[in-house]
Amino acid sequence: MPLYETTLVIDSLLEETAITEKVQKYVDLVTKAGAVDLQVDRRGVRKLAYDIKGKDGQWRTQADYTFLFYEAPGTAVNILEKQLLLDEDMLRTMTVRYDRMPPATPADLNAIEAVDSSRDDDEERGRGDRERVKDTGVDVDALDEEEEG
Amino acid sequence: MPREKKIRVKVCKFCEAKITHIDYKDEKLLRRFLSDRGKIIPRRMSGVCERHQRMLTTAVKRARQIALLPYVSEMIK
Repeated sequence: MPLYETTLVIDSLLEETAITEKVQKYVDLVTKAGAVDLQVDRRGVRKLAYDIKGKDGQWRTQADYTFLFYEAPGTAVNILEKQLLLDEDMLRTMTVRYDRMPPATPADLNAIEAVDSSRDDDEERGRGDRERVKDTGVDVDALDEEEEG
Repeated sequence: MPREKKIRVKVCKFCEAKITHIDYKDEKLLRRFLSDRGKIIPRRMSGVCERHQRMLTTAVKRARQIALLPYVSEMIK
């Protein structure tokens, strides 16, 4: 069975218990429809990147985020999405299908920052990309030939 | 004598950090690859490889759908 991840962006004007109940309702629904290995990742209330209009016509600046990760047949996703569309307290929903299991740990931002800072250090020392490529073991002469050719 | 050509080899940050999957929920990471207006920085400027740029673009577009990132912004950083 394929892997799916459903994002629920719930109106934060609802009370905490109401949101928890709502999440539980969808968890039960998808489990009943045949989902297995369901993981619930509740991120809580956070600021939205842009305002979204709620059911009462007022603009919302924050919402509650929940991510459901599960393995299920396609029919289960159809059932879930149909119910989510009818729910007026849902500001946004999105289901993503994964072909294979994504890594458990997210991309390490520190590792990228380390690459950035090492580049800055190189530039400060007057070392260009060419020297760095030499350090990493890439055949620089081959690159030269490629460019000339 | 011909002037020596200066080669600038761009190395992808994601490849160097050995990242194989870019998560659309990782807003902090994605913001690094957006301009002040919220547009995706082209890979000719960021130096990201083609494969990772494709993954990055998909992730940014997903994050925009669920309001984690703006579609357009005056100042996002």
